[in-house]
Amino acid sequence: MKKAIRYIGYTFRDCYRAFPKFFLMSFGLDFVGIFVSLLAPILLARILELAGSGADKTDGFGVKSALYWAIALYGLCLACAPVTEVVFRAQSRRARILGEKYFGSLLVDFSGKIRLEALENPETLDRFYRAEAGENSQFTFFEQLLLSLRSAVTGIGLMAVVGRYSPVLVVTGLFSLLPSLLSKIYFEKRLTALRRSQSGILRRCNYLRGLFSRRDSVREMRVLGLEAYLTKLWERANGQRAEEYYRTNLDVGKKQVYGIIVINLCYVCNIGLSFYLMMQGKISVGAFAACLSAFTAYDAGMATLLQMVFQAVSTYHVVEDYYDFFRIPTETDGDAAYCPFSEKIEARDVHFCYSGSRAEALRGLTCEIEKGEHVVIVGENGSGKTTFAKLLTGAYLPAQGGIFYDGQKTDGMIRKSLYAHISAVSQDFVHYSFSLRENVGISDPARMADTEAMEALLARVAGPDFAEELGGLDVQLGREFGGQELSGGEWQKVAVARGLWKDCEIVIFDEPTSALDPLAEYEILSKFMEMTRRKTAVIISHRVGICRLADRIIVMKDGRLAECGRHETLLAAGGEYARIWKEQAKWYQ
Amino acid sequence: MKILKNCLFCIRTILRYVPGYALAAFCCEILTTPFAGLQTLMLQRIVDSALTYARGLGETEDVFRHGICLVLLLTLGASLQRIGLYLMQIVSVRLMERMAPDIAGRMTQLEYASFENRQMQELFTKMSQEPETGVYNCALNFLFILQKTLTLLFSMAVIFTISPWIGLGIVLVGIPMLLLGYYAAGRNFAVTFEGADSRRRMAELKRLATDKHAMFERKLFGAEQLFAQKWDFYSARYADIAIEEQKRGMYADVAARLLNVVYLVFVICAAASGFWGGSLSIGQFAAALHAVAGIGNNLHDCSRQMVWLLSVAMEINYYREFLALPVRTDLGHVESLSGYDIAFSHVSFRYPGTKREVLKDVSFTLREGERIAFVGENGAGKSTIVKLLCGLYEPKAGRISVGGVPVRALSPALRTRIFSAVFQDFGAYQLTLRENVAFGNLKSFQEDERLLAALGRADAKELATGHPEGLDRSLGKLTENGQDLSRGQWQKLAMARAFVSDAKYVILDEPTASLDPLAESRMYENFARIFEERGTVMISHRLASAKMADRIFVLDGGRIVQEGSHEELMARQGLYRAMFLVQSSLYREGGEQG
Repeated sequence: MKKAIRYIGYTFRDCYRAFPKFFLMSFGLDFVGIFVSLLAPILLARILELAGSGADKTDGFGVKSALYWAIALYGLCLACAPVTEVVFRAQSRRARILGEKYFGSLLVDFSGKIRLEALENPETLDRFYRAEAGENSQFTFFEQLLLSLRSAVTGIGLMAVVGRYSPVLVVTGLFSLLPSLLSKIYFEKRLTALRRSQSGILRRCNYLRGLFSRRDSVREMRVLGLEAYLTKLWERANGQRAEEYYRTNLDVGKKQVYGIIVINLCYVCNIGLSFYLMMQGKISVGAFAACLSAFTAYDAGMATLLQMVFQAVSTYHVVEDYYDFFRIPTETDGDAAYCPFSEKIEARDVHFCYSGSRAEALRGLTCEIEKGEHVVIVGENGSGKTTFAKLLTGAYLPAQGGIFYDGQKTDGMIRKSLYAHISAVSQDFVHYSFSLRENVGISDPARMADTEAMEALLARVAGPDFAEELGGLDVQLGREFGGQELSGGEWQKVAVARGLWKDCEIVIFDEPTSALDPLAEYEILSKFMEMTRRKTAVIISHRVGICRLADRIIVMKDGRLAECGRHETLLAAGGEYARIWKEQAKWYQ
Repeated sequence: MKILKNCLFCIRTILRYVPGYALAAFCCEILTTPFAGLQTLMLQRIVDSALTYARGLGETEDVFRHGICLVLLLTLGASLQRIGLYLMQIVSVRLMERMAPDIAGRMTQLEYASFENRQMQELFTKMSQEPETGVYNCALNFLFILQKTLTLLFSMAVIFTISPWIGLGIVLVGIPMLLLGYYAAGRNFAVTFEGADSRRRMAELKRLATDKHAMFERKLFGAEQLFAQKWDFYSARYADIAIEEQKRGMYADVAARLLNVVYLVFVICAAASGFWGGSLSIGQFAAALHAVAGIGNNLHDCSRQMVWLLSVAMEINYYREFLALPVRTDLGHVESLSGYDIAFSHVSFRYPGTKREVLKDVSFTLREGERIAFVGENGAGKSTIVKLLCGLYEPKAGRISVGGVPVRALSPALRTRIFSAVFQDFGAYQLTLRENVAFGNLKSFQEDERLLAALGRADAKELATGHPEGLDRSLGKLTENGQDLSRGQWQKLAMARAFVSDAKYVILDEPTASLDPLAESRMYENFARIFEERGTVMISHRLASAKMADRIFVLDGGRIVQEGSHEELMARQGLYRAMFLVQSSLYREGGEQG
């Protein structure tokens, strides 16, 4: 509850920041709207009363002028709605657009401050997606709150009308609200329960459905002849899901029918009661007409109110998802600036564990990298190579132990000052749907305009005609935006160029060559060695052959250092490295 | 026009799949339309008869009669509406149940080329996101608009009976109002089109903001500002387009609303003067005032619903395009063959819609049981040969036959008896272990021993024996009790599928993805075991594995440039020898030093 109030507070604050004009105006308009909603039914009743008494007594001049005034006021009230609405609507679309911009940029900005390590946890990612879905829901929520308020006030106005004639009418009126409220709550509850219970089967349905539309699965399906079997599985899962939906709907439908019966009974009561009051002479014919009109309007108004309230509640959950995201821990920064290291990088008893996972990825890794060395890290999948590379950049911090640059621990450093000296090409490098220039230059945006240097770099990494064949540096990449589509190998070359574009002392190269054929892979790896001659380079590769070119080989096993040394020494030692080497080399003998 | 066509298409689709319920639901919705008007009419009658009674002129019965009528009308109207909604819910469920299998059926009937066509990717993505919901939403919205419009017409008709002048006034004002409202809706919708590019860019930036790898690069490279700039640029561009487009819609909206005010003032004045002049009874007066607000709201709802309808109706385009995709032509009827020699003669191939010839005049024959390998650089045409061999594509020129019969003339069942395959991007089925293995040969589904033997040969027996549920354990992350496997383990299962199969040939597409050296070596050993057993067609990226083949074909630029066994090829100068020497140089003692 406390949280809800706080988040509603945030909503109002952020709405004000995103679209201040609309925010203030909609309060003003809503005030008018509420006033009108309250007044209109009362006026209509007054008109009908006056008309009734006027029709009875043909003389009343006073009645006539009162009636004219009432009619004029009523007309004004009704005309108010379209006028305020025009203003509201015109501004609200603009505000929605502004909101999208504002809430989107909050999200994009905040995402840059999150601790990277937090993103390893699938739950964090999940929160991310939910927050993205919830973006700009504040706007909708804000609108729904105002609308709920307005239809609630209309209801109060109508109740006030009938209440003047008899309090009993208020009681039956309120009572008629009850079944729709209950059936709605029941419905939502059942639906949420259903959704929860069906999440498994739904996942299965979607998974099976996906198999039929992806080319790799379709190919295998056709060659192995799996169509009939998989269709059957899908039909069965789908049928089960539909059946459960059907049963819930049937059940809820029945409850809703009871609801209608109660509402209609209330109607009968209300109409009968007001009729009785009229017969008794307690209310005039005009008042009777006012009652009838109020009852019909009441039902429609309450349906809107309920709908709005329920919508607002579900929107609130989305808003909640959005703001919850901002509670993800942000990165803490040290205060020491990185001093260009002169001797070595050391890992001392480094432990690391990804959040959301129980097993430690690194369990006491200790090793050294000297300045200017070319180091190759080898080891089986899951031995912690990639994790170690990430810890070297300082973007991830060890849980225990430390990474030291000339004795300076990464934990205490200002991250940015360290980042400025490291470049990396990772296994999961990013395909930016930007221009070729931006794809390469993003690693050092300040130098992005230097066309000559970039062309020279691309020529060395990807071949002399690479950029030209694509259509120049400013060609858009990725088909999604009408640009050039690159093959997997071409993307990798772009990524390698990106890693080398940044002017820095340390380069980490985490096996970005898997989509290349062996010749191209060999070429890139050796070129990389050559182009980083004056730098400290850390290379992770499954091509063990590259180790012969390395100054130092770090062999990892189970998150620890298994061996360390040069190719010849390690091969002669006959340990883990020799085993890996022989396993791969035997295919080339 | 297209919108209307799509709506009618959806209605037809629904009527075809769920005729009974859909018809009943439509009827309910349509039947509710006169009720608002009738209620107004009854309100008038009841007030008038009450007045007559109060003056001592009429009978109580009249009032009662009208009262009961009103209650009945209200009850019936509300009930019909609820029943209609309820029926529509059933329609949606039944539609989901019945349409999905048809879509699956349709998918299996499509030409394979469509799946590889990049321009179709969006279509297939949409088709995998419950298109039946789209069809349902479109039909439902269309129905609502129809219902609202009819309700309006009925209410207007009732007003006509009360006072032709007021009625005429409403028609004169109401119709342009409705049209203006629809125009405004159309303008708002136009934003969706014109701003589409900016929107997609914004979505892409957000995707990058939520991607951990992109986030890592962004931090390391200090590119935060670049991202913020891009976001500001595209969101501002979108806002400009949207605000401009919305302005045009707004004028229409303002005009419509002003008409609304004119109409309100007119009705109130006309009703008041009519009442005072004596041409309207108090009941008619009350009814007219009561109807005014309702009609205004309805007009407004109509144009709102329209915006929504426009966007859902456009989504239907995907479904219609999907239904119009070409149907596969490889469903031959040849059920048996006398021999199983494979022959490519003068085969050339180009992917549909592209210019580059991927294969140029490729000819070779493969005797039953022979083991061959294709090697070559990326893009040399290795994978294309496999696709053609499996009958997934029709060659542009030349002929591909098995036992003398064109591949695409074979029945699919026979083809699966001839070929089995382990593709590079093999399936990791999020189903049971049994299914994962038996997919290699569905006939062996219940033969536990055979499945276990296949697992054993793929060096993955412990996946079954080390788990209490054995072969029936579920794999993958879909279920609570399912366990995800490592890439290497999934690869073993794909191999087990090949072992359980009794196809004449196994196609092995070597993974380029990063297997660690030990895992890679184990994979080669698996390949070697397959090689011992039967005919094999292998695509190799690392020449080391091609050595096992009886004959190696070296592809370069879509042509076969060399052919022979490893020893033969190594004895000759040529591409193969050069490639092998480069690759193995790093592993030979005394080899090249960098």
